[in-house]
Amino acid sequence: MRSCLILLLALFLSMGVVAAQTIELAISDPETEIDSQFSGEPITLFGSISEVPSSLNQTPFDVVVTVRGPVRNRAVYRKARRAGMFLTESRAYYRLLPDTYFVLSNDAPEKIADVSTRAELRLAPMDWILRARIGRSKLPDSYDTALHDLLLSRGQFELKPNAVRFISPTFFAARWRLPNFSKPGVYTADAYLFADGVLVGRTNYTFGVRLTGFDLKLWILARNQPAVYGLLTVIIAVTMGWAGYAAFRR
Amino acid sequence: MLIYLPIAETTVNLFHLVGLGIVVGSISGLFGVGGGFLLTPFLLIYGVPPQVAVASVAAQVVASSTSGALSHYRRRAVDPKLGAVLVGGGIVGSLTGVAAFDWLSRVGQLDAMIGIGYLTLLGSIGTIMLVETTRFILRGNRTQPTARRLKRRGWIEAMPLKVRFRVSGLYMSVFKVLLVGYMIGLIGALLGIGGGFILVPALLYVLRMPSKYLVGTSLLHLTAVMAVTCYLHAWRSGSVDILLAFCLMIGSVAGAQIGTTFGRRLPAEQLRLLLALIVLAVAARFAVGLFLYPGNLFETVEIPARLLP
Repeated sequence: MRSCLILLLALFLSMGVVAAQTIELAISDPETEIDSQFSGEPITLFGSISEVPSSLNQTPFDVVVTVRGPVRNRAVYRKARRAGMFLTESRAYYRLLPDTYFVLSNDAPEKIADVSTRAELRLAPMDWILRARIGRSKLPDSYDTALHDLLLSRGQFELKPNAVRFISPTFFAARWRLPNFSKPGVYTADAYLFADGVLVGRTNYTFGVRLTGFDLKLWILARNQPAVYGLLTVIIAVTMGWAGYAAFRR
Repeated sequence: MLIYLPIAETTVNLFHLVGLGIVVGSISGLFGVGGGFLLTPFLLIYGVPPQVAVASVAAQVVASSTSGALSHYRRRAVDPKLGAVLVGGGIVGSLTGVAAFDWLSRVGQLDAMIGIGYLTLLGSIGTIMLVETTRFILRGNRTQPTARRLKRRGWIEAMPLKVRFRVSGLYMSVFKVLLVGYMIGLIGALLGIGGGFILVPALLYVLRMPSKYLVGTSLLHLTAVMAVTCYLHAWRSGSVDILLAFCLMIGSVAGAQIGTTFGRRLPAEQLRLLLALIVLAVAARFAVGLFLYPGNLFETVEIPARLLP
């Protein structure tokens, strides 16, 4: 255990760190690459608590880390029965909602901070849903709740109350897994440090998830030269069709 | 074996895609249909965004129908002249359909229109085909069922510019063929499908094409119209995932050949009966989706910024 701790500390020190008032963060893999074989990737975020005031020396800390993926626009449709058929009756729209959102903590966030603090820091997925909702008040309605539940069930939003482990009283590691449907883009990790329910420090850290190799070339071609990309698609399709015909011709 | 799709932005199993391609390709080669109406729902279950699924399936349909059309052409089971006129009407219909699709998306009635459209269209075509073919088989009649049963419609038959299509032995107005192509292109683009399973009955019952040329000519039409649709999707929104389409193509071009080989051994009326049953099965699937309680009344999809209010 001791050697493991030393190893982790050495790893931490060898990586670039981001200075904050009381927390410093470093990540196991600052630039995650997505290639054709990508099937998700475990990520560890290390945090070091420094400049601890003497008044907090004996107080155990709590940590909540939120990780936001790239934003996307969403629609939620609600069906209703009309003339015996279930048809879309109404819909709600969400602008720039994080596509993935993870809440990692050493305990349930409800036990770490009170409601107002959690809402102010936007710790819960619902806070981001309400922020993204177009044309609504601050209270969640059935669309917001349904979206929340759907994204949680798909694993796009995740609450992991045991994902943060303290290796020492002032050194922690937050572990989670980037899912296999992760979007390339900039991810933001926000770390909040609590002592006795009071926020005593916060910082954030951004890291990139990017396409690489053949996937990247395809993506660039599709975005930058759509006419060429379209033509290439049709040529490939016709060639494949011809190849299939030629291979099976008797 | 897992593979990450850069445009769909998700990971799928390569072997599942190839297997799916073989099944759908076989159906395509057997019946002259694209198979998009079967493939797209599977991709949606996989988590592929709807826009990417529809666009990539269009590319796959081009590959499988090219493969199938070439096989039929080699066996002289394609009427190229009639096919070319159909394609002309189909491309114009497809362009109109894409514009109508956008309009309906903005108005917000697209899914209702798609559900009811599918059900009405597939239900009626499937039933007509089933009744017609069953009656034909039971009577042991060797003549074309349509030539005897359908009465000549005055204004359609009176259309000008009559042309002789020597291969299939038909003599009719070029506008009649263009109209059929246009309607199939329009419906296909509106419902997000190639329209093969509508075209085959249309060729049989409206144009009274001999059974021998039905599948090959339908595949020729599909190849051209879906190539245009696929290009438009890729050009307008970059939503075709070549990698996804390629994996599907590997299976489907092989499947198309398997389907064509089987099709050669089956009598035409049995093929029509099978197609009628498949069309009715898909109609039943839509009926279930429309009439049964969906379990969750809410669903969510990612949308482009232009669709936000």
